Amino acid sequence: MVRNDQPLLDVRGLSVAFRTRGHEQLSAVQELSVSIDPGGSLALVGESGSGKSVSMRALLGLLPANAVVGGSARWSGEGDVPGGTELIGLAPRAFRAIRGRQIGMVFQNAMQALNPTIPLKRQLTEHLRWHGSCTRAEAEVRAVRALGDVGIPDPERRIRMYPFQLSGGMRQRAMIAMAMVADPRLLIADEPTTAVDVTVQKQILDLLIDLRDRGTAIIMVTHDLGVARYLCEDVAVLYSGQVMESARLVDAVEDPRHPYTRGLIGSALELGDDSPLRPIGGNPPDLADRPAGCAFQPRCTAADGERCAEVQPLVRLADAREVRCWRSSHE
Amino acid sequence: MSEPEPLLRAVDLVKDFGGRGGGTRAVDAVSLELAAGETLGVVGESGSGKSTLARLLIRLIEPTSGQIHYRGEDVLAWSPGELRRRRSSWQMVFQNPFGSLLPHLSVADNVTEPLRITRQGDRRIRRARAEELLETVGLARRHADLYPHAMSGGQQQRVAIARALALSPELLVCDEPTSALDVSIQAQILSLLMGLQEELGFAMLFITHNLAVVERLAARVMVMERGRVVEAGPTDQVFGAPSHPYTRTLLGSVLPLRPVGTRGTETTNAPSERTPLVD
Amino acid sequence: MTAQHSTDSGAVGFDGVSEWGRRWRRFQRNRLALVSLAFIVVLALLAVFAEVIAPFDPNQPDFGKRLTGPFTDGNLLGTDVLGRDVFSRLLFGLRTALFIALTAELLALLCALIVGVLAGYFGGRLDQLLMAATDVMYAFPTYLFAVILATVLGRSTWSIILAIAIGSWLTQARLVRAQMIKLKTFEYVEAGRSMGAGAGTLILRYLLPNSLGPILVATSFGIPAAMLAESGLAILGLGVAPPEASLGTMITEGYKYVLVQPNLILWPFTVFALGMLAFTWVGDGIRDAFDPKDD
Repeated sequence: MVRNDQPLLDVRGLSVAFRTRGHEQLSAVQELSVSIDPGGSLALVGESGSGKSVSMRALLGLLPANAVVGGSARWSGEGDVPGGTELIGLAPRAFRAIRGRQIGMVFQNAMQALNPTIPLKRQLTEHLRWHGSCTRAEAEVRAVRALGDVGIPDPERRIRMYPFQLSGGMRQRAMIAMAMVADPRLLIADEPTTAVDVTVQKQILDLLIDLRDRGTAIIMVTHDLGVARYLCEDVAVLYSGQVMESARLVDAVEDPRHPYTRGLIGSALELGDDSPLRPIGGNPPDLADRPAGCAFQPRCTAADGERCAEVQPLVRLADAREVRCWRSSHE
Repeated sequence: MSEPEPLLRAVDLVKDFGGRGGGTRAVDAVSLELAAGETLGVVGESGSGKSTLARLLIRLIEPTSGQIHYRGEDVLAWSPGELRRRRSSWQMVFQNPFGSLLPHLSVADNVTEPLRITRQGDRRIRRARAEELLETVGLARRHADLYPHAMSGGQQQRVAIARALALSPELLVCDEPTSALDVSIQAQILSLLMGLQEELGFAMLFITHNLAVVERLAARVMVMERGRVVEAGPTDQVFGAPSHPYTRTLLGSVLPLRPVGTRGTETTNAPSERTPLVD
Repeated sequence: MTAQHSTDSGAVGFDGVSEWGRRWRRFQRNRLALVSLAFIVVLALLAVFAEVIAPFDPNQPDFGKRLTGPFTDGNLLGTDVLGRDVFSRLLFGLRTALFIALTAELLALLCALIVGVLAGYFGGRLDQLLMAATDVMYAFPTYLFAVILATVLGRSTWSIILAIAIGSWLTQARLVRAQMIKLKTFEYVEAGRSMGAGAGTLILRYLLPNSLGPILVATSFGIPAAMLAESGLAILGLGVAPPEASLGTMITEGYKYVLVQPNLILWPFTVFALGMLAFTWVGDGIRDAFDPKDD
């Protein structure tokens, strides 16, 4: 892949906290830095509460009013803006021009994301006519094409259907079509296959691979390393709101440097692998009650009291990997 | 099977839902045998009838036709009262740990609920048994006074397992017990179940959509599709040389983390590997 | 225990607060509901100790001082057209109104629980039969029942209670039935059945404690509705028999003299309106208390 001098989306030091009643602010994401190049594919991997979904919603300005967002996210998908557009703190009006048009979104539950009372056609074309200047007829042609592109057979007929008339897999495809109809440069997919069967999951991921191969950059939010591995080149492993390790996915799987990454891989069950299960003990920390120093320390088998009690910086290693553990820079 | 009479034997189980023309056959002529201490995996996707089958086998729902034998006895001939008395030999672990615990009872009361229902022991004895059971599933004594809402999903599932073990069952029916949990917690619960089975010797019927879990846990597997068993046999044979196309589709849908063999470090997948569109 | 058993001793939100404790905490967070509850307690105490507090016999006329204003001759809130003490009548009227509303709602709740549980839990034929019966009863308006009961039983407190209860239990029975049908599919009910729990245990220990939320909300909203129905019956002349006082009859009588002595309608109406509001706000609080997502 040709490396542009500028990433498509460059997130630096993103932080998200929620103001809560009575308590102090709950910090959900801390110092998150990731970037994705045009046509690239990045997996944000983490368990529930790791901040992976929250951070993506923060980028898209989709968090509730009690969220406090800091840091920077520069979007260079518009082309003509030198240095890119800063997404954090962007006015809602300006956001609408980017969200949906330049950055598409796919969520976990297609049934909730699609309006059940409106046929697909209106949901797909309305969308287009807000964003682009295109006539009703053009919009319909593009919508039909988008449905065909995501592998929905007989799109001319299906576009007149209501969401409930489609199967689960079809709905998920329709939602991807909705995200893709405006031809975005980046697609953010938040656990798009968690609610579907394994055979459908494979189909959806294959569809996303097609999109990626046609030049759309993809950020995949998932708890499943297998899903990430199937689709993405790069990975950022999140734990308790922090990036623990970021690397090329192949490297992270073959040679994990952070104990948490190692634990996740040890927890993953694989066909044809009869090595003993090595689960990570314990539970992720409560956001209101993070341990001092390394957040993973209480569950870490390699923990060393003194060193781990200090705050761990994300250290850049020689092979362009980043790891938040003092051991990795000593190995 | 080497044993003359298995622990559980079902013959031609059928379950129809709805009636008068518009009904659907959720389970269609399923037969199976489960020996004491053995684990049978049941694999399938949503709508395959695997959860219905589990509920039929322990008579949580009544079959439309078929036979169920438990240690040679005809389970379907038992009266409601006898059924209730004898339920203690089979216990179930559900998919949603929070949903299967009573929210208004403490952890200790939830764990010993089976004892209360079967009128065993007084409060003090039950309390001691609760602490013992919590320890067995890797929880601490101090968890006994918590309420389910104050626990993580993994801890709740441990409580549900402790409750299922309270009456020392001979058969544990697990309906997707790890699919609502995070991956690191899923591995904890699976290794706990495997260790407990080794120690206590109960038989397990393990229902899941995750082939890797079945391969790890069960010596024998049944693959279900739309209410029917499409393939059954020793797990290594079924997964090693699948004979039914649906089994092959399922196996082809598994996303390997560390691909075995020659694929090496290539992340993109050739189109030929992809499953065709089925809808 | 072998080492391969992972343990999980980490504490998450370590607090041993029971479900009821948390419900009470959530209720308290609704300040308006808490103040309303306190107000209702005060009203209830006033009603219960009416005999002790009331300075005069509420039904004793005194034709020497008719329609006087407040603070005259020891009559705190003045007198009515027959010279009876308005403050004393207000206390007894409050007692009548609360007694009628609470008893009617409790009666309705009891019927609703029995019918709703039977229909919802057991389902099938019994359900069809019971629901058909409630459909038929729906067709009769409450006031028609009141007229019939007043004719048959005479104008008594109990015929009013019965009329109101009959008007209110149908909706609640449907609610209980819907709750039963919904909760019956929950995994803890399946878990209970798989442990060998019988219908009694399942209903009393598993289903009812967890379906109380919407039922209690409906009941607490039902109380102001019952108060309203009682005063409605009073306006129609079907209220408690004179000289007994109830808030409804006091408003009905007072409204005849509104131009001469507005106090006669002002006080019972204020108590009536505040009482209704308080029960409604307590209902809001109960709804919050049973809504676990806000914790």
